[in-house]
Amino acid sequence: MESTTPVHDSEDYLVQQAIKRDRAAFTALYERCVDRVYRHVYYRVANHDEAEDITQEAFVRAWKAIDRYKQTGAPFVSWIITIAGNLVIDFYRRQQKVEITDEIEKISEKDLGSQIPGPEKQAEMNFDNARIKKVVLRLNGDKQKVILMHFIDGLSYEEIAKALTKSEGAIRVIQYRALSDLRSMVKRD
Amino acid sequence: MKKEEILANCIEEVRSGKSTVEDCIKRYPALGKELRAMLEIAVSIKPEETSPSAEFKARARLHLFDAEKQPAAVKTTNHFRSWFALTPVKVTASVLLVVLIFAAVGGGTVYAAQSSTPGDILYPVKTGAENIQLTFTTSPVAKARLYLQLAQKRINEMARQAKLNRNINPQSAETVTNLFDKALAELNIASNAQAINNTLSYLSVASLNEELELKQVVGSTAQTNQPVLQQIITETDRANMIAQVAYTNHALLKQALTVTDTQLDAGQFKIEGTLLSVRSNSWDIGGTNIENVVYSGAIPAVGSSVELTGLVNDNQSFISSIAVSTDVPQVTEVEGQFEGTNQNGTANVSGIAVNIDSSNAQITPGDSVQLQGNTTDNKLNVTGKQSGTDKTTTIAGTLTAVDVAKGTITVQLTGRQVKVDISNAQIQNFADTTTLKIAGLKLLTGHEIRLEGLSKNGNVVSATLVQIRLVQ
Repeated sequence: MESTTPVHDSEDYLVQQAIKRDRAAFTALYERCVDRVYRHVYYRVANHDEAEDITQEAFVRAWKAIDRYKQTGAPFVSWIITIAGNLVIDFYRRQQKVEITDEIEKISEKDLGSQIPGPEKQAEMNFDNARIKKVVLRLNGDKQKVILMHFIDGLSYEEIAKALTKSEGAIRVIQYRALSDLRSMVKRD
Repeated sequence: MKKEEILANCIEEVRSGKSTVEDCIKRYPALGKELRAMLEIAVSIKPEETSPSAEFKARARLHLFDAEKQPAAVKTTNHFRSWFALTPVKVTASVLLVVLIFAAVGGGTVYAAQSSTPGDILYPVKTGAENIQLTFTTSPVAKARLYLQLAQKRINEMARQAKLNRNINPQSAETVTNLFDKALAELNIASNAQAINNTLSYLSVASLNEELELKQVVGSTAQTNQPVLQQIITETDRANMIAQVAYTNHALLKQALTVTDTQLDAGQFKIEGTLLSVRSNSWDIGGTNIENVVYSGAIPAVGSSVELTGLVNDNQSFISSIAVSTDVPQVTEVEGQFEGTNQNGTANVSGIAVNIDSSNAQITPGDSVQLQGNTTDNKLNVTGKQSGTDKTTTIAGTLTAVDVAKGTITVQLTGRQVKVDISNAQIQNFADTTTLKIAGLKLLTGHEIRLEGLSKNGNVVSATLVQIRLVQ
């Protein structure tokens, strides 16, 4: 049944209403979040058609599961992005059969030993967006999550901490390690 | 302050414009080099300058609550009726049963039908759901992609049936052909260059995968299935070739392409030599002229040593790649399919007119040939040949990674990474055919690589011959 409840402006209120299966409230949340979710997905799949499909499916699934949503203090968009992120992983799993392989290499410091370029080479390093994106998407687990949430989704340390149920200090440590890995990966590439 | 906090603070200050990277480094000189590198990376991580289209947002908004109404909607929409109307009478009873099951168990039936193969009771549910999906897909690229995914599904079904030694209906091959051709027709009218490339990239790797999977089963299946499978192997090979050429040369898509066109097999060529002149659309490479060249990239300087690959189709020469080599070519080399000799004695190799020294030309039309010669007399000698039926699956791309311990390399092919086991392959330097060890490839990432004799066993793709060519 369509709700006729006037939609209040605050996100908390909209979320509470959506949990009660208020379609208007959920639609308002959709309007607020869709651009950010799409940008997150597009960053990871680099294809407009796939990004659209995954974004749409993320909202459809979110509506199906809305009554299980727990308000943790993290913005609502981070929940949708988590759902979209899982769909991106499924998408790449399906693609694996197609792509034969697109193995994400885990690089150990030992492997890097002989390949760290000298100072001149380092000075020449050009951190262009495409190159950085390639290595960001090679990061594993929480490291990739934190980097994407902070730099692509625009979430604060506090919001990331709430979304991942960790302390802000832990998020900073993960960010430091992730950037350190990215530095090594860029050197290696 | 801990270094992760220093980094976090600096990132926020630099991103908000309160400080520069230099300011931060001055403040924390002990962390200077490390901090600079990490800050430079941090400021480079940005979202893409993109937004979803208004059309998409409106469409997605309309479908937000679809999951709730799906079972009822399927029973009453016109699309379902049109699918029902199209279904042959013979299967109506089965379909009716399926509808009853659908009504009883909802979307689970459609899900269960996904693994069905032709002849199974749930197969019409699967194809019916696909028809509905096609009806709702409107953009040319999305439609092309869907046709290709359906072609892939049909091929997987054929492979499964072949493994089970079930009879494959020759109609299945026709379905696959139609799906490939419809996808190409949609790409012909598509306009988003990036989306076209993503689809071609998908087509290239998916068709390679399908070709190798069918080759795995073709030898062991029933004799009656073999012609159908061979036909699809040939068509997936052509689809792969079209994708590889069109990926760098979209003009090819503007031709009326079909994977049944045997001219596509004959038209693939490779030529290496010195670029002697470029006049209008005619390029002279070491004395051999390529006519009606279609190429939108930067043309190398006259005098460069080049290797061109491409496809002659409908009298036009579509160049798919140009590598400017560091090797100085002593000779001109041409590879392609010999199609015969005209009255003047000029041979036709993949649509390119070449002068072959007839004294050693033991070749017949349909043979894949390798020719070599010098630029002074423009005569080329036959240095290698393969009869049409001996052709192996070959790919060419850029070497991106080498795993010496596992004996594998990764090759970038139309923007995707393909991993290939080369532990039993012969590895050559293309320029002088000297043999290399896999460890020797480690220093050659970024250079051009060609893999021949590809096959698939389980999920492992292997090659029998690897040729590496150094490019500038």
